[in-house]
Amino acid sequence: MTDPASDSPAPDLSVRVGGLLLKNPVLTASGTFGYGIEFAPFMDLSALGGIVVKGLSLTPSPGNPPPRVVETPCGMLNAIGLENVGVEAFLAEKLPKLAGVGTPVIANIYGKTVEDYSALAERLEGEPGVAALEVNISCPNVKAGGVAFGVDPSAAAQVIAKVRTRTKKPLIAKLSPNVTSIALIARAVEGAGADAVSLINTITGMAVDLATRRPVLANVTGGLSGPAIKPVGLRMVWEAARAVKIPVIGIGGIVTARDALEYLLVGAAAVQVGTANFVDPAAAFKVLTGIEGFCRENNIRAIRDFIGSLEV
Amino acid sequence: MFEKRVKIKKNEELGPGYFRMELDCPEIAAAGAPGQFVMVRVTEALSPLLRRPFSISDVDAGGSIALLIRVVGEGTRILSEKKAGESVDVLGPLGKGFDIGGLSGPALLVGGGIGAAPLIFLARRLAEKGVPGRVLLGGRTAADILCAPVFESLGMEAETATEDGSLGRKGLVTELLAQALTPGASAFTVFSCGPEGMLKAVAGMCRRSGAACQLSLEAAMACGMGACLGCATPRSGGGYLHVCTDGPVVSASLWPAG
Ligand SMILES: Cc1cc2nc3c(=O)[nH]c(=O)nc-3n(C[C@H](O)[C@H](O)[C@H](O)COP(=O)(O)OP(=O)(O)OC[C@H]3O[C@@H](n4cnc5c(N)ncnc54)[C@H](O)[C@@H]3O)c2cc1C
Ligand SMILES: Cc1cc2nc3c(=O)[nH]c(=O)nc-3n(C[C@H](O)[C@H](O)[C@H](O)COP(=O)(O)O)c2cc1C
Ligand code: FES
Repeated sequence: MTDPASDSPAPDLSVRVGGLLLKNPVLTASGTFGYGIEFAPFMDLSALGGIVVKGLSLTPSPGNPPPRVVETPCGMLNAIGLENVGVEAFLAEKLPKLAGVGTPVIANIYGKTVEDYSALAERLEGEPGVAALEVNISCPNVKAGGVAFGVDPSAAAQVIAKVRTRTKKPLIAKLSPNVTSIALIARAVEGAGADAVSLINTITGMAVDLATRRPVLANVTGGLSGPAIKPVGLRMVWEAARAVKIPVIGIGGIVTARDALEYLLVGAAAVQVGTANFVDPAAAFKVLTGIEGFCRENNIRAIRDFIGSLEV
Repeated sequence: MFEKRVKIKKNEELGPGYFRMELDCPEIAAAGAPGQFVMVRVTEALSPLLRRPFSISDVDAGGSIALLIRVVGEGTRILSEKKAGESVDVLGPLGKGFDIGGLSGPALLVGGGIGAAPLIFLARRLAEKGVPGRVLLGGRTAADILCAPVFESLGMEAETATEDGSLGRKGLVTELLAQALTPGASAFTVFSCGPEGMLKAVAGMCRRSGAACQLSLEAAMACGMGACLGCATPRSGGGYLHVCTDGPVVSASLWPAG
């Protein structure tokens, strides 16, 4: 990453996120980076701060009927329905391919019941290849669960407290933006033992077809992501960062280094790049090099000094 | 798999609403196989945001790939207005193409409208392998029958059908297929691309006549490379196929036919 032509020392991009020491603050968002290995042709994965893999459930899940995705102005709606290979196939087939990848692999987990979450955490506890757990209490797509935990502070706390008893790994609670007060939820999961929070997940939305008078997505509603949601993400990360002492990971509409820096400015200790990976498979790497360039240009020696430096 | 900004060598209007774009892209020309596709970023701006999928319609020895583009919305309109000398960002080659490894008999290509696109590249590779074949092309009007002379130049007899009777037989391309799939014709391998309704009909006819059949499917896509799981389509026997990685070309037996 050091530019041999430049004589200034490389900026220190390392950040600490709830017990994880990351070499830089750029991670990839769950569900937008496959199981990681798909992107190896486009960048040196070891350069990233971390990789968050597709949400895992106890048993394989086929997901929702199609259509599952549709583009919207500066964004997209998805209703994948948390399709995934299941935790056992992940451990047997996907995780070994990431062995030696040179960056922390974070498992994103979701369940329909508190017991599902705790069983997943237990199953992953002995896996040295999993650096941390990101607990998705926010997916708006699965009718039977997900959303119920993420929008109610006491239910959110219940899930996190239970997972906490099953894992010593860093525990990140991934929060839904579909709530009235993000501060309340963030404080609830902090109190239940989360080491960090990540936000935002997608915002519930809808697209309809005037010609057929039907919803575009088979699931009727879906989750909005991409550049369109960045202002919402920034506002919520700013509110969450002021509400809790644990680190906040900023997500939502990050395409460029400037977007990522805006999240760091409002208080995110790290960021995740999501939908942008679909548009440019090297997006996360470009965000990282852009952050490094910004630090050099602005004589920021350690990115830690920049984080949360917003003047209001 | 390559992701690259490439120069547009040509962008010609074939007829109302149809364009043929030639891209200088030696890597994809060398690595691509018939039935595979590319994801094209139509703008550097944030809207339209997602790349658009297009079949590789042809390649040439000079390192070009050709796309056939039907204008249906904003993204395809922007592409249609691009000029030679401008550049676009392409990702590919992607997905699984037609399986032409162990063909036992002649090939029968069945295209509906813009579905002719991947069949041209297929016809070229079949001709190189010395596999005999015919092509059946259907469309609403004569303007929707694409590139019949190109197939003929590759040694394939081309038959056409239009719904309004303005070219070839008046009716659907599946009526031509029904004639071709007469008893004893099961040695054919059918390769088809076109609208979903047509593909279902083609699959059903092949199943009933015992002809092997490969279909090039479509689905709404975000990534084109297996990362988003957006491109699901039902799989025979339950669950889903992912069009960008299990396809776009699949054996008709994997796809629940109409
Ligand atoms: C594997 C694959 C290969 C393809 N190959 C070709 C090709 O060779 N040539 C070509 O012209 N097109 C091809 N397509 C279709 C092409 O990708 C779409 O037409 C294009 O993405 C539409 O973009 P747009 O912005 O112009 O339209 P949008 O604004 O996205 O959509 C406009 C209208 O077109 C409809 N539409 C959008 N996507 C599709 C689709 N995939 N199929 C049918 N209708 C659609 C929408 O529902 C909407 O009504 C292919 C699609 C796939 C999945
Ligand atoms: C296609 C798709 C699939 C997703 N799958 C998951 C998932 O499995 N688990 C999860 O916690 N978040 C999932 N997300 C949400 C993203 O991780 C991210 O929080 C959200 O998209 C906002 O970031 P972005 O605007 O950069 O995409 C998914 C998003 C998309 C677009
Ligand atoms: S289009 Fe993303 S997985 Fe197929």
